[in-house]
Amino acid sequence: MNIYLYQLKTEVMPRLSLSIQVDLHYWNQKGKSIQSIYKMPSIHQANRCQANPKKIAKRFDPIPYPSTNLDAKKIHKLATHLFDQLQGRAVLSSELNTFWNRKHHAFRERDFWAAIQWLYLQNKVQIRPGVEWGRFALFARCHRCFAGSSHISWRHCATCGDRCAMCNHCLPLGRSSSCSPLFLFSARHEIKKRSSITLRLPHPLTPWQQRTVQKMDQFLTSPPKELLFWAVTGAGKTECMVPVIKTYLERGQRVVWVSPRKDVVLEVAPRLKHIFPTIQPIALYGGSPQRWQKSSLIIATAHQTYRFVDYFDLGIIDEVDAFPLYQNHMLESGIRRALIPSAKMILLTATPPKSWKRLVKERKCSMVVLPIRYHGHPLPVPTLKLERRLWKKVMNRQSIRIIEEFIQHVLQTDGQAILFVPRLQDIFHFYAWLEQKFSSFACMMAGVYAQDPERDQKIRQFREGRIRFLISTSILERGVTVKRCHVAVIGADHPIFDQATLVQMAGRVGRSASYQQGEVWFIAQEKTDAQLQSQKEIIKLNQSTKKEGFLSEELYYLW
Amino acid sequence: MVEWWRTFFPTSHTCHFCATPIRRHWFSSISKQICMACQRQLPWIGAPQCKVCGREMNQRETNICSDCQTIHPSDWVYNRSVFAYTAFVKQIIWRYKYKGQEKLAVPLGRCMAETLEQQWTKKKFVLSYVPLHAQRLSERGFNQAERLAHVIGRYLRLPVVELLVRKRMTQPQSEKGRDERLSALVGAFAVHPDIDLEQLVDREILLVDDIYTTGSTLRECSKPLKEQGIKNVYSITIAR
Repeated sequence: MNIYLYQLKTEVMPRLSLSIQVDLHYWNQKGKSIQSIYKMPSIHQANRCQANPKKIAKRFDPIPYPSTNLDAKKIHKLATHLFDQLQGRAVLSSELNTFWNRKHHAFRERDFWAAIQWLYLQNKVQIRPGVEWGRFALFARCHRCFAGSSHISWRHCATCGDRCAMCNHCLPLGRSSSCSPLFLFSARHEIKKRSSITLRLPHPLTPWQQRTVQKMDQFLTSPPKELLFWAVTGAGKTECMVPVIKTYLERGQRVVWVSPRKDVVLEVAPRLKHIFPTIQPIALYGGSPQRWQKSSLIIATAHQTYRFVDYFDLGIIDEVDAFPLYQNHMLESGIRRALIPSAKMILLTATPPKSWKRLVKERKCSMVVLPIRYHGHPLPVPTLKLERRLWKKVMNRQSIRIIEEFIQHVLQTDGQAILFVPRLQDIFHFYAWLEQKFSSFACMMAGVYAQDPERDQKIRQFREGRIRFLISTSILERGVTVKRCHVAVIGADHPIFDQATLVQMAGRVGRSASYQQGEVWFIAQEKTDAQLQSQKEIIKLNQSTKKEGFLSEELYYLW
Repeated sequence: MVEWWRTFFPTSHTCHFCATPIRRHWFSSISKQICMACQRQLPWIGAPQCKVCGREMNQRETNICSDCQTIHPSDWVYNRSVFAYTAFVKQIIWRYKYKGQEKLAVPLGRCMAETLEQQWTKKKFVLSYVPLHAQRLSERGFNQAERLAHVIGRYLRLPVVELLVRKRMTQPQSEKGRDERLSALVGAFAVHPDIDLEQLVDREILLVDDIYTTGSTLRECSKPLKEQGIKNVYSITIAR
């Protein structure tokens, strides 16, 4: 891809071009003439020269005028077509190249860039260097992912033949560097009345879910832009959001559902696809085949929102308190850029951090609470159990009465159990302990960790019930729903288990209305604040539902 | 605030190949700077190896594997590799080479340097690397073998010299079958015009590359060197 700078006779400020023929044609039609044309080695150099026009003539020699044999009609047609496909996207030049390779190979590459340049002249796309810095390298910033200089590394680049800055933060999405241009396409926004959308909800909404939907409708018509939606684990958050999404889609507006991780996207997308059969929502994640498709409902991982700009009218952000979203300013800015300035944001969480609860108390943020599960049963309250010298006993393969009791209980109630341990190596130690103590069940045990090559397979076997005892690090704390599940957190006093994690882990139990014998045990060497607070929070939530009358017998609503 | 806080009080180190936080020291062996989960998946090539191509062998009846026996000894390139080419190693190399995670050059290069130290302790090498065609180089932005060679050179204090150039553009070796690989590269490399090989005749030359499959790339690279009087050409790769 070539980058040119040129000056009009009446202007000092140089203009940027990807295809100089288009500019010659365009300004010719406007009756203006181009003074001098320079060819730039990279977008970064072009950007520098634009900031300091006097330096161009010193550093570069003007190139001769190219011939203007341009099929303007064809370019114009291609440009309109491209804008329709690419509107609202933020893409790097390398991504545009793959887009051209996949979809528009019928056109010549030159025509493709000419069409993009046509859009640039119409102000429908902005072009920036991927990474930009001013006078000091300390202020370098990636325009794609908003990462600061701590994520940016300098190296000699063979593409531009110069020293070049590259962003390490958004590298999995494709390399953003100071010599790769970033294209920010603007989007069309018009509100049109669409015929009403048919929903295929698997179950009707429960009365308490309906009540939260009403509250959310009030929020949508009121001025504040952000809403915190606190729903306990297993409350049916997705179903509650369906009416809200529906109102937006009926107005012809666009909605994005942001999840922190790929597995969650892959779980939510088919559900929403089933609920909205006429919309055909698309799922975006690393390696998604639907990458260049268009839809008004998009389910995406948080990182994929870097690829949109001013596009969505409503953002629903799932599990905001989880990694990688929590306290990640770069991802937050990315999501905000993907939304239009007047867009509304609904933040879903099961465990809001303390600071957010304080914001709600100070009336700086509005909140809707759904403190009850869809089946109406209370949340299982964790039991705190103390065991002295826990890990020493595990290492020495001594008997640990409490854990043995727990396993006996699981076996008696015909259930399955997730045994959470704090660190990776604990999985292997504890697995060896368990294998020795319960050798008759050895084929029904497994340990799973984040980089485990058999991870998906083991989790599937656990869901199917072939594995009864699954030892895991905190990777299974969210998004796993197993009917006959018990939970034990072994070493719950480890600092890695904070209050939110423990509440989430406890939330794995009792998800199904028909199996309520599930128990949660925190087994630790000492009581910690996190354990006590999480227990307290669950008790408090159960009490508040009782107070509001949700738990009364006539509301039991089982299907 | 978090940004400057971290510059004064950095968070703990992470594993070189994933984001797991681990305790590591810069001067310890590279195998101790990798987290346990990655460590379990990394297939280091163990002791009984083919004397020529570095393949891991089960029985120790012969020193040379059956593939190398079919090749004439004057064409041999003595190769050593760090890892067996499994899915995990493939993914790491893919991340390094095609996804552009140039940072990975450091741990991979150090793995190679430590393997070199173990295998050929007393040899004083001159390092060089498999060149890329100018067009491929500008597409990728860097030459993966060159980066590795510089890391090894810095770690073992050996000189790195650009010995070879690529005369013509060839299809990537990864897209070909075995027979095509062996024939595709014939005459693709030449000695760099600025290099006077007579000064290096009594030195041992070590070529750096990323993957060794059939060895055809490295043998082709060694041909122009051997023609000009270099006796033995050695090579090191990440995987085979």
